Order: sequence, then structure tokens, then C-alpha cells
Amino acid sequence: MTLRLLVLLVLAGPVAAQPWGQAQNSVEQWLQGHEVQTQGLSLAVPTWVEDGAFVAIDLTLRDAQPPVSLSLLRSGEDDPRIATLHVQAWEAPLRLSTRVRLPRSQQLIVLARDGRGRVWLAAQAVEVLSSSCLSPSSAQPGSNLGPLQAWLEPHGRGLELRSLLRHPMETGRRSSVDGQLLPRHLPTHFEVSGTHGNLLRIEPFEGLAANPYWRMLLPAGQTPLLLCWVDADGRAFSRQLP
Amino acid sequence: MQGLTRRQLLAGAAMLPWLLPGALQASVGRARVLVIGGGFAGATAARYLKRQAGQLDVVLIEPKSDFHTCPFSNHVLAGLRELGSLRQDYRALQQQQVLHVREWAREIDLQARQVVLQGGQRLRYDRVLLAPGIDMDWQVIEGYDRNAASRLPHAWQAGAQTALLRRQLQAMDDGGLVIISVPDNPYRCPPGPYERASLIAHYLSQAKPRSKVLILDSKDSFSKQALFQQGWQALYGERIEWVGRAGDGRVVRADAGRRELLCEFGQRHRAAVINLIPPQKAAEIAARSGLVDSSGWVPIRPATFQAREAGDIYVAGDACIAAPMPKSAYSANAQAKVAVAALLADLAGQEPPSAAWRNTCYSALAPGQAVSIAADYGIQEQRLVELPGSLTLSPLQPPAGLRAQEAALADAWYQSICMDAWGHLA
Repeated sequence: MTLRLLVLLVLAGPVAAQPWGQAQNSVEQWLQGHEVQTQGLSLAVPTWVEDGAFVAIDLTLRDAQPPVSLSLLRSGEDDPRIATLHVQAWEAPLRLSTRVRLPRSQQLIVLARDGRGRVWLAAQAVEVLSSSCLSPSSAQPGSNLGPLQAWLEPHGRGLELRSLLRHPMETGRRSSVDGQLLPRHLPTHFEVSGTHGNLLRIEPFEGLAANPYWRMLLPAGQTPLLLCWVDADGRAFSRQLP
Repeated sequence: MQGLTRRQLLAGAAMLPWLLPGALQASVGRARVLVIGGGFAGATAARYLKRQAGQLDVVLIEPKSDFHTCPFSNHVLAGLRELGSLRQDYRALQQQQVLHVREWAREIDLQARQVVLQGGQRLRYDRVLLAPGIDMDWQVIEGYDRNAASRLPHAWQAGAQTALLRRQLQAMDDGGLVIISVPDNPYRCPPGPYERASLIAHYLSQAKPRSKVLILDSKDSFSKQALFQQGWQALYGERIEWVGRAGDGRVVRADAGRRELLCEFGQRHRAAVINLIPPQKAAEIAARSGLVDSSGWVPIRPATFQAREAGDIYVAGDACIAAPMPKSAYSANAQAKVAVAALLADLAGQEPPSAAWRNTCYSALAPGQAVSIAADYGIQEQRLVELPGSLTLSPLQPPAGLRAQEAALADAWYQSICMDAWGHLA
């Protein structure tokens, strides 16, 4: 039985008609008319976490042709989107790490599509064992923006890029300590460009953890790199490496 | 929460979580229970096993003749207590007819139902209560291994490491920088590093007034953050600086020889004293016995604290995955009692009694000033959960005397929990 058939059965089955929860529509749209590859995409994420505000994930995609689009989703939230990515070049295999926000136990879903139109899906349940002992920061919204931290170092034949922007990633659904709804405040996009043009573009959504962190492996010969986050008000946070 | 309420809760904690009926005590027979580890969870378990079922053959496998508690070890670093005041021994347990085998337990042979000791000797068991605590994960921070820890102490297992860090602080010149590096969750005692910063800052303010504390944190926020930061500002001014992950606080490499740390985004820090608390995992025996998951900790069945993969093995304390309960001495003590009750019921062929847990973590801001966080826990849909509405946290604007009252409560808690775990000589 092919994975496409399996997925279709799962999608159509009477018992688990919505296996991807709130992300069902997004997953169906992504998979429509495509055969899901059985191998190549792997997702490394803890099966349980103490703090759902910062869940570290690593994903690896093997034998994909550029450009690759990725969609990171979660199954248990009104807005299931975490981020969409468009990757033009990488040091194979494609490896990305970030941190996502899971307010409760749910499925984490990664969808990928490469330049040949092939489609991948990987998912894993994450149990969030929240503890009030790990109380969150009381920082006020907007009081801590930037700088954009970044670091580049050799990794095998390529380069390892790590970056983090200090940003609250306010969803517009959270209340302050005095009960006021905190206004929505999300950046619009993050781009990494090299000497041969754009390497990566990321659109962040509610599911991306505060202080968005990205780690990726890039091909050599692209330096200097230009990194740029653009905030909702158009303000840019940029770094050039090295 | 006000002090009176907390006192009542403390009194209630002593009764946690059970009382076994006499008929059940009689029916467990002369089964052999091996308790591995003599910390808060192991000592509590050994004591309560023997107290509730005197005819049980209870063997404590613990290589040390005495044990130094992590609670109040930060006071030792600040010169506020002697290391010896943290020492507990196993004489009262031996007096209670617990056999103390002074060896390392290397592995549990689940098939043979035997525990393998370091020397190769095998001990048969009917049940095991595994309470081995933590090991440092030496694979995460490049350059930080056991040798490096003799120069950059973690002091996250009390005893020789505590004494080493204390000596380094004493030997440091006035004006020297003290760095505390804190790992990401989960780790033993979530507020512990910040209490440590508080009490070291107190020591510096008295003995090295030009010195400072820099906390390099792998996390973006931390336990009781607002309370600590308010306390630091009021008590120590600029003496304590906290750098979270967004400020490049996550240490990725250590050079013990140069006393230098490299952070994730390239910042380097050199210091006169570096207290590097690395990521942790369940003690090695848990992995050797095939009981850990990919996180390095032991999954359990929450209602009984049986290892998820081995029903004859009960696991309590820091080694198990009991989140949302924090890895604390208070949790270890409460979990051990639940595990003992379930173990005895199992031996008697009965259903385990229902369980409830509480945890309280006190943290000192300075001598005679403390804050706390506490919560109740229970089982819902076969999961361990924090009970809604049970969280209590010291107020940011305390009534007069509350911080001092909480410090006194912390002292009383420490005395009572040590007595509850290790007992006292008749």
C-alpha cells in the first residue's frame, strides 16, 4: 500500500476524519494530488517537554532538489501555522533547526515540497508537561527587540549558521499580568542572502517561539551572508557575516 | 501565599500521601526490595518500606557512607553554613534493619531479576526502587568533562564539588568575575542556580566588594524570575547580571585551562571563577538498564511511579520524568512515598492507593530572606498534572516580615524533610 493511499484512507476514514486537527485543511491543500514520499524527511523533536513555550525541533530532508518549500504546522491551535520556508540552497542534506510554541500537547507537522514537485510529510506528537515552576518572563511587549544575534562557522564542507532575534512574537491572544490583552506583534519575514542571491526566506506565524531561532547548514562560497528580519512596522534587523 | 497557610500545608505534607492498612502490611511477606540510591528519594523509600512492612527484606545499595544534600549547599558556597551541616548518614536506616550495601549498582538485569553491582556481584530482587539521581551529560558542552569539572566545578551534586567551588570563591581576588552557566530545562532544582547567584552575591558584597556575578543562561526565562530580579536589584544593585539565550547566554564550549567560555553566537567570557552547571540526565544505571527514553530520563506510569517499560521497577526522584513536578528534594520525598505505597500494594496483590503530591521550592535571596513557589499535583486521565488553582507564589510586594518568615520556614522544611528521609537514631 502506498503512503498516498494510506494518507487518503486516514483522511477519509470515519474514525479519524481529522487526524491533523486544526491543521487538517492546510495539510490537505499541501498534499492534494501528490504522492507523499515515504523516505527522506525526518523530524527530531522531544516526545515530551517541560516548557511548551520553547520546543526545539530539528528537521532533515535528504535528496531534495532546490528550491524547497516547507510548512511547519501544529494540530491543536486555532492558527496552526508555525512558519513557511523557501530554501534555495543548502549543504546537503537540508538541515534546519528552530524552536516552536506548543501551548498544549499536540501533533507537530512538517510538510515539504521540492523543485521536482515531490511532497514529504513528517509528524510527531509532543506531550507538554507544563510546570508553573518554570514561570515565564514578565517582560513587557515591545520592550525587548533585537539585536539580531548570528554566528557562522565551518561545518563539514559547508557552513553552520545560527541566528536569533530577540522578539516577543506576541500572538494577540495572551494577557498581561494585569489582564490586558497584549497586542499582536509578529515580524513579517526573515531572509538570508549570499553572494549568489537569496538562500532562504521565512514567514513566521503564531506558532514560532518567542526570540525566533534558526540554525541551518549552508554551502560554502556564499559569504558574505546578509541576514535580515523585518518587523511588522517595517523596521529591519540586519547582520552581515562574516 | 501567607505564612500561616503555608505552615498548615507543611504539616499536611508530612502525611503525604497514604496510610497502609494493617492487613496489607501483613500480606507483603518477606519479599526483597532493593533500593538503589541513598538521596532524598532512596532514603525516604527505604525508611517507609521498613516502617510500613517491617518483615520486608530492604537493601539500600549506596556506595557512600554519608550523603550531602543539595538543598542548602548554596549557603555553604556563601560561607553561611559548614559543609558538614548538610551531611546525612544511614545509621538510623540500618538501625531500622535496612541492610546498607556500600557498592555502586551498575545495572538492573530485568530478565534475571537481579541488580549487578560494580564488582560483578548479583543481588536477586522481587522489586526495585530506583532512585539514582542525576549524572552530568558530558557530551553537550564541548571541552567540559570530568577533568574540566575539577577546574570549572558544577557543584550540582553536593560534597566535594561544593567544597571546591567554595575554595575557589574564597581564593579569588577582589574584583574577580564569577560566572554561573545554567542549562536548558529539564535539570535538577530549576530555581537553584538563581538562589546560588543570590547567595554568592551576598558573599561577594561582604568579602569581595568589587566582584560581580554573571549568569549565562541557556534559557529565555527562569523560575521565579520576577521575584529573583526584584530581589537582586534591591539587595545587590548591579552586582548580578543575567544574560538569557537571546543575549547570547548559552554556553557551547569551555576551555578549562584558560577559564574561558564560548557562547552560541560567538561571545567569549573569561572569569576568575566559573561554575558551569551542564545539562543533565538520569544517572547512568537507568540507561544501562534500558529504562530511559530519548531524553535521557526515565518514563514512568504516573499513578504508581513504576518504570513504563518494567513494572517491577519503581522510580522516584530526579531520574524520572514526573513533570510538571520539578526535580526537587520535596518532589523526590513525596514521589518515594507514592512509589512505596504502590509497590507494597502490588506485592500484596492489591490495587494501588490513590495518590496526591505537593511540591514547595524555597529559594534564599539573602541570609534570612526567602521566596517560594508551591503547587499540588494529581492524576487526571492517567497523567500527572498540576492541579488548577493550586499554584502559590510569594508576592512581589510582600507584607512586612514575609521574606524572613519564608526563610524560617525554609529552615524548618529542611530539618523536617531530612528527618523524614534519613530518620534519627533511637
